[in-house]
Amino acid sequence: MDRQLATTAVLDPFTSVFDAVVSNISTVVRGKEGAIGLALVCLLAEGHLLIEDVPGVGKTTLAKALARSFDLECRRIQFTPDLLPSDITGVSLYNRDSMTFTFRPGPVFANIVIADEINRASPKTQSALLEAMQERQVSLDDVTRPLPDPFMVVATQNPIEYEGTYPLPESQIDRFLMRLSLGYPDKDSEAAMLDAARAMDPLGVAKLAVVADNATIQAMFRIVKSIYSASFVRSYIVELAAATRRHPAVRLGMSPRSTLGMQRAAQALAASLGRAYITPDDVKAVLRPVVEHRLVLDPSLAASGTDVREILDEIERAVPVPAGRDIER
Amino acid sequence: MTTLAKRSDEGELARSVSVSMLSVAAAGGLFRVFVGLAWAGPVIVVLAAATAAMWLLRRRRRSWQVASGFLAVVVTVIWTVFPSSTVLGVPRPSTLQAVWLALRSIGPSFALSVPPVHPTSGLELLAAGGGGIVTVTALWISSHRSTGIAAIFPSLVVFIAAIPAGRGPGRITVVASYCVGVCIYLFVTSRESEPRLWFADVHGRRRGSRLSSAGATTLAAVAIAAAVTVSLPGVDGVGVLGWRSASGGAGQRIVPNPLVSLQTRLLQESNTPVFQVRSSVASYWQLTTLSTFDGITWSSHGSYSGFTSQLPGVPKASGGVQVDQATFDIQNLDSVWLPDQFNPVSVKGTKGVSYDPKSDSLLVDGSTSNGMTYTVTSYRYLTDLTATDLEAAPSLQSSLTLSADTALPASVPRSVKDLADQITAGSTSEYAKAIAIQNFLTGPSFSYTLNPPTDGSGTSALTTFLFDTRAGYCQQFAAAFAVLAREVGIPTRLGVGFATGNTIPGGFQVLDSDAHTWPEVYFGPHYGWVPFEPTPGFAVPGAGGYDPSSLASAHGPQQTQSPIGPASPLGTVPAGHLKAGASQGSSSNVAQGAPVQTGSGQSHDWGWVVFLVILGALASWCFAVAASRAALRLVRRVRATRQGPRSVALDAWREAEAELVWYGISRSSSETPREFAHRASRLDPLGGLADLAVVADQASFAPVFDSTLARTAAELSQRTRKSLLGAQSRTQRNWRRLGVRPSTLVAATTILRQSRLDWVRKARMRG
Repeated sequence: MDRQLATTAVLDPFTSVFDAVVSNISTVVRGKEGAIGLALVCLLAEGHLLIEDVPGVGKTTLAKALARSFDLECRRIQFTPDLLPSDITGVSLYNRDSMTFTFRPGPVFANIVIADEINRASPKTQSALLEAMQERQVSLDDVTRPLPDPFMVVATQNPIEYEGTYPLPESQIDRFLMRLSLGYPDKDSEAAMLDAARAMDPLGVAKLAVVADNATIQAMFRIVKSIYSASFVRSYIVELAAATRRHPAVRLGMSPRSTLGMQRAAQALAASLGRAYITPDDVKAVLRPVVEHRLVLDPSLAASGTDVREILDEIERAVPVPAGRDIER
Repeated sequence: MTTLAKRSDEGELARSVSVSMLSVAAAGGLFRVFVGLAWAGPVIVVLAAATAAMWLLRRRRRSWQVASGFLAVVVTVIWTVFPSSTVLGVPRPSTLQAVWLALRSIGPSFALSVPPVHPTSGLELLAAGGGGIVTVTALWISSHRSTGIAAIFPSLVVFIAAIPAGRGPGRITVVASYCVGVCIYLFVTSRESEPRLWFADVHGRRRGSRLSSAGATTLAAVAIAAAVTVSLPGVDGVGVLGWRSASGGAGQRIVPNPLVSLQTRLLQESNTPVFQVRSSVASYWQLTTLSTFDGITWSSHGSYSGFTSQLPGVPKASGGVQVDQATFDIQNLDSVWLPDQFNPVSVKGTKGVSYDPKSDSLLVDGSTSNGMTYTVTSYRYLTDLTATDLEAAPSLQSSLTLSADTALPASVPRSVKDLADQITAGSTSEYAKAIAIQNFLTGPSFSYTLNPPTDGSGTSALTTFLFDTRAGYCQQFAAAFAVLAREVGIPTRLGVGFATGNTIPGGFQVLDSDAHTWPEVYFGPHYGWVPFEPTPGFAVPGAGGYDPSSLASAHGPQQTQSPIGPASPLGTVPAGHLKAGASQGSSSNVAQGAPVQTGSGQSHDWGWVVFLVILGALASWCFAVAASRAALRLVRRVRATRQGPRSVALDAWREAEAELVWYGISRSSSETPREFAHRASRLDPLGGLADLAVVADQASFAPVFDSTLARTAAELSQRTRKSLLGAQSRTQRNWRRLGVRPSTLVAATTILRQSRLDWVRKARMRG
């Protein structure tokens, strides 16, 4: 009914690609359609993704499958304390034959960069990646080299083990549009996974079908940007942001960058549902993935066990959604 | 939008005010119980004070609220009902005493009063205090967020209990105003979500449980009110006396207590003409006599027998005895007794009349004597009686046959006997004792008033009258005389009837306000029952031979009947019942004449009125519902063309949302339409609401809106309503159809507001 009443035919290709990609990925990451959909929304919103979860739940597989579905180039960097910035961005090497320096691009020159255990590298190295994330370019030896388009960093973090890590500072964590956690699959999905893994490689991403190409993604980006955002919904987003900023338990609320990201994510989500406009429902759906990792709680209150999720629940309940009566005025 | 997640201050205030308005409306039932409006002031002040007190402490604990409410009730009752007993509003010991006296007078008031009654301090205390308690209880119940509807309960009990107590016109007004109060309260509280109900499952979730809860609550209220009504002291027949008519042969005859009807006549100060007497000789016109005192009221038990013209048990007039003839033309005497002179011998021109020699009263077989004309012949021997005759009458103290006429209930305290002995000390003969008692009562320490501090003639009223207040009207004086005389062994009874009335050519015109009562003393078979007059300002006509006060009295009874203004030299003398009437002004009831009806006639009347009221209310309700729906359809069509499809779709959503409030689910302000539809999907199996939410979203947020969706939205709203209704049982469905839907109200207000906005916009453009 949703599709019948509210969709526009223009969005049909968009939604069909979206659905195809989600079902494609869920053949390797089973039972996680919600997280897959959000990851895809993140990609379509041109944001970066932070996956925070325990090892072995399919973080890397998800990223790889995402790249594979769109036939994109995917590179993985394992972050370690001795990793240097040049290990990410690449180096200029002297070529004896031509007597010139030639640039050897690092792994960051890929469409999807998996930064595994990003918090294990030194802040210096982290910042090299994070600069690339925001600027979408790498400046080295006075030469600025643009990164490929689309460009998306999928960083992973282990929430359990903090020994010898360099936690990302607030300024840098703010550059991730969303934070997701996959969580363990439910029993049925896990059983189906075992069944599928009897004969073949369980993580056979390489054999995954290619659903679309880079040109399709570029078209989808344009569609996402064309999704309408009514002024009431915009002010709803602003109200939510203001509520996080003035909440007594929160020391650092939503940044303007995150409000921008929230609207873009809502647009991508609305497009994926075949709707040409965003509603407060879309905003609510992306509220937690977009905001959760950005809020810095008051240390005194954080010690008392107040959870970010509770605070967001509270804020969601407190901020009235724009309803018909306001709209008519 | 319509939901209040928490009760706002305004909501709280609206609730408090509507609850107290409901109590005021219930107290409106007292309009028909009391004469005048003097009682309304205290009631309203007490209700307002209780509401205000609880409102001020609304943020405190409930126990504090209730305590403050009760405190406010007590304080304002003392200030309004007993202001004179306080010093600058601070109660004194005498306040407590006054309250105690007032409390004690309530029981007898109920037993003796026939509405409408004058508000005595006891009844005012009952009305104001009871109203206050009801209000505090209702506020307390309604302050529980989950039991809002049950707050109607206390006032409903009072209202139902007050209905049978009232009398006179204004029934429909009273019932209607109470209904309006209930509607206002329900409207105010209907904005709350998911109230918990009485007599229903915990959250009122079961479909139709609200309706059954309302029904059960009403039934319980009716049951309690019926129990309250039955347990009132006046209902068990003390206020009326049972009576077996010997001539009628079969059946119990219920006749009003003559004292009670006397009281009503007196206190209403009605100028209604009662009857005319064509006679040359003035007399008191006696209806009946009462010889049994049970501590609460005086009554009579007689066996009546028919007669042709000669009254049974009365010897025929012999030649030497002078006889008088009086012809009575009854105009407005809705009583079962016929007036006659003292010592009647024979009655002519009557049919269907019986006579009781024991109480000397003529009784009509029907319920009214209006329009009758008859002639009574009587001995004229009162004028011949002298003090010497009576002085010489033999003492009857040992006579066993008269023990009933000297009997007193055990409730009469010893102090009365002591007082009687003290008054009659030194008097030897029966006559001397009677005169002593009469002189005591007509003495300067007693005063006449139509508004005595303690009403009635029961034991407690009597002792208060004798020892405390020493103010009253004929009923108190006559009863006090009778009790005092009986205490010293003199056979005494009460005569009830009318004073002489105004002199007109050829006779007398008797008015309602001439109603009177007096004591009669028995002086043996030779002299019979002789009337005395202990009420100041009255005298038995023709009794000058034995009654010194009759001679001392400067004015005859005829004089007393002329209306005396404040400027009259007799203004200070309590010269008849009219005095109070002239200085107080007449109440609206005067013109009605307040006919005293028999019990059976009244109840028949009442049932018919209730039936008509219910029928009329139902019919007008159905009409209003149908008309409002038709009007709404029309307005909606107009609005669709003027406001555009988005507004129509949003209206449809709003109506569906309001409809769900009725089923106990309302949208919170932070909930999107889809979330709400999801939450309500349990009640809406067809899923129309979910689709409607999608359309509403599109109307709200989409850049373009397909106008055909407006019609879709209206259809979906309709479908949702039907789907909700379809899940109900047939009875519940019909009941719900009968009601005005909340969605109708929402649509109406939206339309009204919108048209006002349009108007403002246009005005701005013009200006």
